[in-house]
Amino acid sequence: MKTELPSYETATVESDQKIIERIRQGDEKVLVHLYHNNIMMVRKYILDNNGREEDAQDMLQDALIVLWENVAHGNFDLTSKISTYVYSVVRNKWLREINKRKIGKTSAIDDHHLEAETIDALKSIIHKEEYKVILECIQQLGPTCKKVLMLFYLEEKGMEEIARALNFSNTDVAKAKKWQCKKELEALVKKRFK
Amino acid sequence: MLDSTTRQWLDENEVLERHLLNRLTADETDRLQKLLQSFPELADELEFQKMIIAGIRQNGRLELKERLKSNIAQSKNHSSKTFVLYSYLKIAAVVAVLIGVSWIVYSRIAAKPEPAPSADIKKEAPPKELKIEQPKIEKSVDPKTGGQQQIASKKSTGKQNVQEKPLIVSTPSETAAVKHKQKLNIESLKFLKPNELTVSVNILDEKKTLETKLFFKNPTDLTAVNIKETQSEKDNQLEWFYVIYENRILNLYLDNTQYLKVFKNTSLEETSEKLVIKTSSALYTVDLKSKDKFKKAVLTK
Repeated sequence: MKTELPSYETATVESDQKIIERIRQGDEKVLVHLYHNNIMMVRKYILDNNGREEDAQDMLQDALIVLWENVAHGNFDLTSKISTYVYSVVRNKWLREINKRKIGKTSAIDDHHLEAETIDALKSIIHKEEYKVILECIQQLGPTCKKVLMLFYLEEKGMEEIARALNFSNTDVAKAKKWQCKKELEALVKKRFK
Repeated sequence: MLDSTTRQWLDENEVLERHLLNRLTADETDRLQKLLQSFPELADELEFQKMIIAGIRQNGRLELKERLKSNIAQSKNHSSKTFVLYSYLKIAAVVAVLIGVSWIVYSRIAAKPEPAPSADIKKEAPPKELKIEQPKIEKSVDPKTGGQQQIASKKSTGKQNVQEKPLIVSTPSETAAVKHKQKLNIESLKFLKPNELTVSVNILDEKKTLETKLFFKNPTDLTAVNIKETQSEKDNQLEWFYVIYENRILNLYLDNTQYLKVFKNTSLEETSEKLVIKTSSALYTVDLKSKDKFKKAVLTK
């Protein structure tokens, strides 16, 4: 029997490669394309699993951010299709979300575990408050500082790429700028925590 | 309290930060671990750095998400504008075709030797006006209710295209094949276009091959390994199912209003060794262990 070669399938795998390349180059528009390609699938899964339309949109957007970050960090290997990966991330996130919502509703906690639970909850609250402060302080930085810090820490770009992206004259300037911006942020945060 | 040399080493080499980014060498890691054990204030400093970096990343994610939302909203606006424009163009095209057809038919009728009595007078009037006259045009274009239906069908086609509903095609002979329970063999799957899967079904007794097409909203997907669902039915209609092709599972999403008739009331059962597709009149088994896999879905009853 003849083997029919699925010409589109080959083209689709190539398309995924192109998408990955575009993400590596920092092209955020490609996320919109991925969003439209995957929203029906995600919507069906979320709605079939006690979710709402807004949850589906949110989960997919979060999954695409995860994809973006992993590609930027070099943690993404194209062993399956991007849509498969996105679907898996959505599933995992949604299962965690459902559990979180269930725990939030459940109030029956053993007295035995109450103290430990309370301490964990307090730690979690403190962490959340600390994060809130840091996020507020980041907003006080200039746009170049925010961009430098995001490129370095979120996308883990090298100094050469950062210099190129932000039109710095050389990598030393980029390195100095990054150091300066981080120090500025640390000072703002420490001031808030005093 | 850390001595100045150690402090210099930590600061100049950005040791704490590089540790959090997993960029230290083995020796540096060892040295840092010892320092962390000896100097609790260093552990606090590390925790602070951890929070700063996590905060920067979280902010980056939030901002990226906001930009993504904004870009999605913009793309939807653009699509809806394109949709409206496209609809108008379609309507304009349909009207233009109808006018063109009417004109051609009218011209042919006008060329006949026997003029209609009342029409003669009208024909003496300027030609342009005659073309616009309703009765002749209507008759010529409307065999029974064909003309009106045509318009309706074009409109509905337009709507269908605009709403992008997948169109499932099935031929009468496929239905006949199911009714007569003939031996069927799924010969091949072809992906010639992004949203279209062509399935070649070989009817063994009649020695002919049918091609049916599945149109679906999403391009073919490979399911993740941990997805257990094999098919989804709603109101006795198959919503989607998967097939196996060349070592990969293809997940096809079908519009739940129309679907391939051969696969109506289909269920799928999967074991590690085989995939069993049951239709209302046939049972196909796909041997997952064989090399050929879905090249041959064997009809077993």
